[in-house]
This record gives sequence, C-alpha cells and structure tokens, in this order.
Amino acid sequence: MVRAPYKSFLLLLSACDLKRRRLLVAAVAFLFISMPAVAADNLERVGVLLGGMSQALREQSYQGLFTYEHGGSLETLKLLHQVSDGVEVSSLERLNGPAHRYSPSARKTDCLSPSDRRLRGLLPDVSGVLADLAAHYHFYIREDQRVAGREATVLQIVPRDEYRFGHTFTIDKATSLPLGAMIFTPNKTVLERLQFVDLSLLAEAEPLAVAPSAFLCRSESVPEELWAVGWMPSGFMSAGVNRSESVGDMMMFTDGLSSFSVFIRPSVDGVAAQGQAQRGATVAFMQQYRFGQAMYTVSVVGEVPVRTAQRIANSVQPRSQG
Amino acid sequence: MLENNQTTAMRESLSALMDDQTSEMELMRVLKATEQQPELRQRWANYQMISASMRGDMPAVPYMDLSSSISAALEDETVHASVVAEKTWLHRVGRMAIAASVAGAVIVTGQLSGFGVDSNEAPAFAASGAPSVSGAVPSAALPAGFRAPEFSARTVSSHKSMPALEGRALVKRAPSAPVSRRPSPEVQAYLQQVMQLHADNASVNTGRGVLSYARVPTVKAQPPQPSE
Repeated sequence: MVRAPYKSFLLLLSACDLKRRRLLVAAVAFLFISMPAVAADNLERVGVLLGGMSQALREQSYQGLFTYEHGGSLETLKLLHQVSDGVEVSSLERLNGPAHRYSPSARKTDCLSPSDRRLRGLLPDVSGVLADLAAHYHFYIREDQRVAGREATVLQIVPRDEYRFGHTFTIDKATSLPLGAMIFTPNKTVLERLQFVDLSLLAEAEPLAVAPSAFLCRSESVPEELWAVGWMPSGFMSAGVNRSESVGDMMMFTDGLSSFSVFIRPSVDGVAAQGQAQRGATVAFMQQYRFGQAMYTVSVVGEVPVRTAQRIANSVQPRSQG
Repeated sequence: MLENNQTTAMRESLSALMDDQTSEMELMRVLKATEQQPELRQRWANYQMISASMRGDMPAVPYMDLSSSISAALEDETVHASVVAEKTWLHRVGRMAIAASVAGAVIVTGQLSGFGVDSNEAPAFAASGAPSVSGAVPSAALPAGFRAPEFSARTVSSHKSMPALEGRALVKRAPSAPVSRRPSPEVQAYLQQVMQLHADNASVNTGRGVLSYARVPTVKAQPPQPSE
C-alpha cells in the first residue's frame, strides 16, 4: 500500500490543512512503523552501504576465493582485481570443472555505469537518498555476521513487486567489499549464493599493462535503435545497446541491482528454438516472433523471474521507421 | 525484553500485511495475535484509517470497533455442525502446512534446465519464476518475513535421481513441450554466447562487478552422452 512512501508523504504535506494536521502526524508515525528498517536515517545508511560497495568493488585492489552455489552445485572461483592509475583490470578463474578464465576488458574507474550511478546516488533526476530504489525494494539491515574471517553488515533487499528478485549482501565493514551475495525469488526461495572464503586487499599494483584496444569506457555513441521494448518492470532503465554479427541486436537494462539483456536477430534454421533456461538466478527465455514478413528470434537473459523475461520478450516490437 | 521484541515483530508483521507482504503463516500469526491483543487490533484499525485517508476515502462516520459486538452476536448464533467440521479440517490443513514448511527445503535447479546447456545433470524444470514451488519456502533457510540472519541458508538440488523428492509435486515440468527437450548444439552455442554477453552487462550493472561472471555456464568440450 505504501508503494512510494515519500511521494505520498509529500502529497499529504501539500494538501495539509488544519483539520488534517492530526492525520498527518498519524501518517508520519505510520510510515515509520510500517517500514521499521527503512526509516530515513536507515535509508541513508543503506545508501552509504550500497554506494560504498559499488565504489570499493571498482576502486580497490583485492584478491580472493569465493564459492558460487546454485541448485545442488557448488563451484569455487578465484578473483583478482587490480587498480592502477585509475584503470581497473580483473580476472576470474574457475577452480572446478573445465579450466576457464574470464578477463573482462580494462575500464577506467571513473567510467560509471547506470547501476553505479544509481547505487551511489548520482542520478541527477532523482531526489532523496535511494528514492528510486526504495520505490521498488524494502531494505532491511540484519544482524552482523562474520564471513571469511571478517565482520560484515548484512543488508537484505526485498522486492516490493513480483517482477524482480531480492538480494542479500554481506558487506565487509573494513573494506565495503561484498563478502557474500544472495539472490532470492519474490516468494523467498534462494536461487544462488556467492560467498568469499578468503579475501585480502592488495597494495596498489604496478602500472598495469593494458592493451590500448581495451575499451576503458564504453563509448557513448549509440547505434540506431531498431527495436522498442514495450513493457518492462518499472525502475529499469536502459544501460546501452550493442550490435554484433553473431548475436544480433542487444539492448541492456538495469534497475541498479538486477539487469537483463534483450537479444534480437533474424531466425536462423537450427537455432529457431523456443523455451527457457536457468542457471542460478540467470534466466534465459527464447521465443520466435513474426515481424512483417520475417521471423525473428527474441531472447531475454537476466536476473529476473522467468515470467518477467517472457513478458518483456512478448513486448518487443520493431521501432516504426521515421 | 522478549515480550517487547515480540510486540515489535508483530507490529512489523502488521505493517507488512498492510503492504501485502505477508506470508500465509505470518497472516495467521497476526490474526491470532489480534484476537488476544486489543492494542494490536486498535493499531490495525488505525492503519486502515490512515491508508483510507491517504487514498482520500475516509468514512464520513467516526470509527467504531464493531468486532466485539459482532463476535458477541456470533456467540449467540446456533452453531451448525458442518461449520465445526470445516474448522477442524482447516485446522488440520493449517497444521500440515506449518509442518510442511518446517520440513521444506529450497528446491532449486542450478543447471540450465530446459535447454540443458550445462550437461552434467539431468534437466529438471527450474524452480524460479515458477510460483508452483512457493510451497517450498524454506523455513530453515529463510524464515517467514526474513527475521533471522540469512547466510545459514542452503540450496538443495532437485536432482531427478533423488528418491526423496520424487514423491513430491514440488518440481513441476513446464507445460510447453520444448522445455524438456535438449536443444540443438547451435541453440546451445547461441545461448552460451548471449549469457556471456549478458554477464558483461550484469558485471557492470548489478553492483557485483566481476563476480557476475561466476554465472556464465562453461560448456564442456565433449559433453557426456550417457544415453547413447
């Protein structure tokens, strides 16, 4: 009922007259009682936690081992993140199963994604600490925990609607790095859990050998958008578009805590399947659609419930020409 | 102190109820508590009034607590036998539901079900997004209303060959046929590609950084084919 508490509070304020003053007091009391963990000072604390985490992940140098647990399987991974001269380089190595290493492109630490900006409270059009996130999530600060030998604050983020997943972050008090991260469904079933077993900070690295071709910051030049996503849960915003031969057009979205990507390409024989897949919290939904004379494959991949992914896929339309 | 905590917890549950955020168990607890605590009942009434005023539909007449007079009137009513039977039946179901949720485990498939990209486990339809598994809310893992620390939570596989799970209707197959079919290698390759690209998006857009790559499935060079 209190979907956007601060908004309704302001409305009430503006409509305030003498008769309603008593009600207003009651309403204020109600707002605080109804959101025991989301009182204004607490929300500020949540903002500091999330902003600090977003910043620490990118600006500190650290290495560690963590487990990734989803369904019945448990995997171990090794993470290395180094920052030098405002450029971050990271790598992630699988320690179980087939050997594999991910090495994302180097980035400048001051190159902020829409999610970074939202978590750090830097979106210009949003008033109030975390107001945009608080409209879609409840925040709870839970009892402290000890993870990987470190004292941590537990922040639980419960979605206000059924269109997105909930999160729990266990945030190191000393470094603000997430020692644990968990995703659960709106009906509170745990989908996946990340947890460090060992984490240590590194001294600032030697100047890193970064290939000049590394993208450092995603270019702002946006390819012409050919597609429109007609529906997505409120709070999600565009995080860029991309185009490639192999996967077709890609559109990215985030609400700050979860993201999804939409892929569209002409159907190809042999890949014209439809169905859904899931690994941990990541859902992939694929469906074939006819636009005009041609068939297209639309895939939605993201940390969202499969129904959300399906509804998003069903709402994709070609952008009308001109 | 303990009593104080209980009261606070109950008030939280009550406001969660106003927000449509309660589980069924929590709802039952609140209803039971309001029976016994007039203070809580009054509070609930106040909440309703405040929410009504926020919506702008305040009743013209002042508030009256009719509940006691109604229950007094109900006391006088002759009780029908069927009602009693229904009540005990409901009670039994309620008790079973509680027992089930205490015993319940998190049923999650971690593999790429449906498409079966991760080939080391029998495909089973994934739990997430399918509300059919809501009965399996784990009390040990996530207590109703998230009142306890969370990291003791465990995720449990719904592996097909686990006989303990076979009798339960917790894991449901998707109604559409293609879901349980193993896709062609081309589809798998495409899925692998889009999930990898999505991980690039997730790594910069979910506040988790490079941790997000943990989710990208690794496709084995030679997937085992036990059935052939």
